[in-house]
Amino acid sequence: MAGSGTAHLRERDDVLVRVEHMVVEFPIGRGQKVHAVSDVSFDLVEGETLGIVGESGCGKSTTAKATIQLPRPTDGSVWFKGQDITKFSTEQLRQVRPEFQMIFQDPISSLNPRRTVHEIIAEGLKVWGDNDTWQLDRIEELMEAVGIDPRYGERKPHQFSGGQCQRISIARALVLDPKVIICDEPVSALDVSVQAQILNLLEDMKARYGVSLMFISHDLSVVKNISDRVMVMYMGKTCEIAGSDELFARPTHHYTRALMAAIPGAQAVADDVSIEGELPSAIDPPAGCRFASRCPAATDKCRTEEPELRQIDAEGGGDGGDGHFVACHFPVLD
Amino acid sequence: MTGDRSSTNMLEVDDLVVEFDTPAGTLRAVDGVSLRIAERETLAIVGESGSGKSVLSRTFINLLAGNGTRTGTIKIGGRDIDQLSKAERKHFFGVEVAMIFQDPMTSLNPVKRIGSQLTEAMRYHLDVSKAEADERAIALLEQVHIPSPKQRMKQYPHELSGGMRQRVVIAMALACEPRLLIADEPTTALDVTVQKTILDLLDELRHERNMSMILITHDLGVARGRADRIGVMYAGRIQEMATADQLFSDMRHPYTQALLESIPDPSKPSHTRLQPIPGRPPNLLDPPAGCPFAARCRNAQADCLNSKPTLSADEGGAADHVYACFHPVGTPAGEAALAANRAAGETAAGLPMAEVEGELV
Repeated sequence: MAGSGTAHLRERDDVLVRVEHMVVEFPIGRGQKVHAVSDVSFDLVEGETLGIVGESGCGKSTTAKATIQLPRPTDGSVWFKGQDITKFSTEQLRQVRPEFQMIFQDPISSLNPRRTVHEIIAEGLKVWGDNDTWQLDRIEELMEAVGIDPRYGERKPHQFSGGQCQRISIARALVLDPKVIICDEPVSALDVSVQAQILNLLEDMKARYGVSLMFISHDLSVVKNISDRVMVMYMGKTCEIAGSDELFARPTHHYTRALMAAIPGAQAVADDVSIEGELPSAIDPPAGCRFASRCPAATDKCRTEEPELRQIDAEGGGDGGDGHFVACHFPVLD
Repeated sequence: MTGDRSSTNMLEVDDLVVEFDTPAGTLRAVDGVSLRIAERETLAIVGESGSGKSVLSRTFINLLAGNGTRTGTIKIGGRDIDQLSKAERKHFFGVEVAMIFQDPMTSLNPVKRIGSQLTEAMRYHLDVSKAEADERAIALLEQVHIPSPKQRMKQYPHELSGGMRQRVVIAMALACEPRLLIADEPTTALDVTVQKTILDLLDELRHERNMSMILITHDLGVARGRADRIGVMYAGRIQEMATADQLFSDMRHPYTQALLESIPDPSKPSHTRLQPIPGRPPNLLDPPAGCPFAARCRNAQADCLNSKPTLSADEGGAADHVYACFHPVGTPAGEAALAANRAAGETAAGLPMAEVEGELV
């Protein structure tokens, strides 16, 4: 398989998770399969927030979930603390699971309606309770930290609003002191006023408990606000990856530019490029660049030869010095 | 932008009140709304969930749940909908006024072909033959830019993508050539790129057909880009209504201001601290005596807690910019209220100023 490149992976000591050449395929019978994620590589350094954006069906949730081996990727490796967790046995995997937690989109349906808030947050501690460092009084501290009055511990989820339920989900995710939290569209179901509360809370919790976030959203303004680095995905491939401010100031992939132009009401960063047509089939993805069928600048080269991720700013340039990478033969460079 | 305002109004609503009889008591979802929409005008109604914007728009098309009661008058195209005879009503809703719903996945019948769903309304409301209805349906699909419309007629909804389905829903709403189109969150379930094409399509069709449109949305960005005027709804009442530009550049209501401040702005650097609105909307089963936003408002004074402000315009200002506030933003009264609250450290409703400005939990 033509690679999407690993030029953007960083050689630093504080790299926490490093995903290389991850492939996720789902068989759908008759020898066919859905190519959900095709050769995606990325890394996450300690205390960083990586935003993943793209249209529905582009593989952003699958990428994040396969990183924590739910399901295990078809191919590729995921390095965590110097070990490739794709090679782990079930029991080894169970031992590292507390390090990875998730927050889901729908705050109400992701909490068990028949349990009290206290039970919901304590569940992880019950499973891992033999460890002395995890104590039950931590629950009250956490409830306080996420802005839920600890006196409400015996209430059930239906007695809380959507925003409060999302706070409970955040407390549940933090209780085992994880290293990485995957936030899968955590604010999409919330009103804007509550969305701001939850985004601020995530920033605070990140600072206070030192976790790294993988933040998935289709809302580009939200992703820009919370992320340090943003990866744009299209049909299971990485299009562009750069620091958040850098990417929004200088989008170079034609797909990224089209996404930015589609932000309603915002001043279009790029000229009015809209993309026509539908996503091609993920069962039989096109050769070459997968975006070629909808790209305004596509040539024959794009349809036959797959672009690799390459750096487009000067070495060590850009913000933070982590570079701006794009997988396009003809990126828009001003 | 709004065209000739003196021309006839497409929609006239006066003092509309909608109440629901629930086991927990009477819930007033819409509380005295009056508005006008001119021909060819787009009015956006924005608000958070539970603000009553969907209930409001549904009463215009006579869709009210069984436990709901409505008072106040609604005139569509100059005709009072309560004065219509039974025979007229039958071919009024769905013909003169049509609606596009939020979720394209559930607003189509999964076991009927696109063609039969599209022609159903035409066959019922307009006296057309089956062949003619089919022809018109194909033309409609073409107008909403669905490729190979003839084949699509024979397909089922699950064979189309979300964006295509929403186009079919739009085509269905347009089938009987409505003069007023109500779009209730038409793009919320769709991707941003698809959202843009659907909104472009609605704009295009509105111009072609000289329709008026009500766009219900929670997304201020969508409202700003697509509407002539915007009404901001909160707790069943319109709190501020102005042309789109005025609302963003010269807002008067503290709720509008708070709503705008809480949205991440893509032109600001990442990790910019957001300013949420503290607290929650009031319980509509037991609404507060005063302004419904007072408990969360940074300008709140004693009078806000005791009486409800009514919609009015600035003296000598634009007559189409109205707001319901005693201490509006950007006026001496508002500045004085804010200064007084800052000095006291909390608003008249007892909300610490630290929660509404700057540092937060």
